[in-house]
Amino acid sequence: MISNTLLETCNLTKSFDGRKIIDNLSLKVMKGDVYGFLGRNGQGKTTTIRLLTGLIFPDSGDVMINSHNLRTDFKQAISQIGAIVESPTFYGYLSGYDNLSLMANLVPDLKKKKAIDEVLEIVGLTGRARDKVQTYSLGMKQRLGIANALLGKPKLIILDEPTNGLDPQGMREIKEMISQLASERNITFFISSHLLNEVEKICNRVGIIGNGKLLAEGSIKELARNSQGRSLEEIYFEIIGR
Amino acid sequence: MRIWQNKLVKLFKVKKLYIFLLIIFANLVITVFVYKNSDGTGLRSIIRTANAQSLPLTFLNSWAQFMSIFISIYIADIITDEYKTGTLKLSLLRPVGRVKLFHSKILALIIFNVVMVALIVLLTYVFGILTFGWGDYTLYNGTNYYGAQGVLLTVAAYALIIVPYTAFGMIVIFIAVLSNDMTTTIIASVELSLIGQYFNAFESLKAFSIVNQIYFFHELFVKNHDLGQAVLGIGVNLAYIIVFYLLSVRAFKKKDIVF
Repeated sequence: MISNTLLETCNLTKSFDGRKIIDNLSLKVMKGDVYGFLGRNGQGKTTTIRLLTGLIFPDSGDVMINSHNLRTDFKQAISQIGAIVESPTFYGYLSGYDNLSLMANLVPDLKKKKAIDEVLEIVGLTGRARDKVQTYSLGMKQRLGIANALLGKPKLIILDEPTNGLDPQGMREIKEMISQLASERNITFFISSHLLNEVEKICNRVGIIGNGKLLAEGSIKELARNSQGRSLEEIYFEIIGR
Repeated sequence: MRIWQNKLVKLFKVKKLYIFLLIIFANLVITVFVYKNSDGTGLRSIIRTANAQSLPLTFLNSWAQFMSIFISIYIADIITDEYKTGTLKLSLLRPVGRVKLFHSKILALIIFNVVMVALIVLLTYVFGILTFGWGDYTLYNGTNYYGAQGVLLTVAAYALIIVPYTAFGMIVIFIAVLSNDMTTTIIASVELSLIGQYFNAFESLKAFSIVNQIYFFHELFVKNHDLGQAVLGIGVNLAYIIVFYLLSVRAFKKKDIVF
């Protein structure tokens, strides 16, 4: 049977210095989802993303990406995803194109030039591709980060607070790009955010994290139906107990 | 995979390489200035024979103090700085295993050493030609080597010194993987190269000191011609490389990337 689950965590636990940051976290992202991962600052969103991308190792539990175990089948699992973790960081002394070129060298069987031109076109950076990244605005770096994530045609893109620090215009561009990529290219998104309004607009499903635990998960419609049609903001505050 | 291409691109695009070469060039200029103006001043120059052919071998031992600092800065840049600025994540989010990525760092160290050594020889020859002319022979250890013989001796000596530079670099890599901090890595590595010089005072320990190796390893082959000492030298360098490789790769594999 073909599974419809693209990303799944099973009882993921992680501690730092004896303090449990992620506590038995089990979540599911289905193919085609734009999944909003909600939580206040310091509740474990970025740590979860680091676990999902193999940057840190869980004390226990597993991450499955398109049925590949991230721990035991790392290369297969990681080749399914593209990600921006925390903030988009690049080599500032290189151009946007050169940065993508370095990363394309690490993707097997990729027609480099074609792939880079294509992703630059998608994020609208073709005109500035030869400029050094240190001259880019945060919004441009974020777009370059998405271009980098798109290299290798991932099934899932993980974005950590993608609109953080952007001006309203930049926020709007990123949100539109996500919606467009999800609908036109059938890419599944996992987006962490603490901006409820943003998540409500672009996501179809959400997971809410508090103190490292998954407090709720489901489609926005489903959560609203079970809460007598209240807004995501109201549901969220009820769940986190405020 | 074209990891080595990435290493070359990054090496030649960063300003550090050119700053290092500028420092080397400044040292050449100062030494030649001292040589030309030492009469009656009490200053002593290391230059014995003023010709381009002899110049690279004249300077070889003295490059160790520069290279130990350059290697420390370079390793701190490609490991701790990449870790702190988050660019290490770019590679870790690709289907490249951590061990392979770690190997690419070692490859970067070797490429750096080879490129630096090659550019230093070239720069010294060119500077020597412009200052003194090519000359008739290579003077080394009291012997004159003529024509290609002298050039080959120079190339061999410089090629040999890459081995202890790599061994020293492996120790720095280990410090970098553990420390996560650029300043700590550089200071600890420079301290190591300074403290290591005290080992040279103990005859029985000298051969096992990495600092002694980065200054004199090539001499075991091109000057002393003592097979036993040469084998010991190779063994000591290999031991440093293997031990610090194993320790570093183990730490890197388990490392949580939190920046």
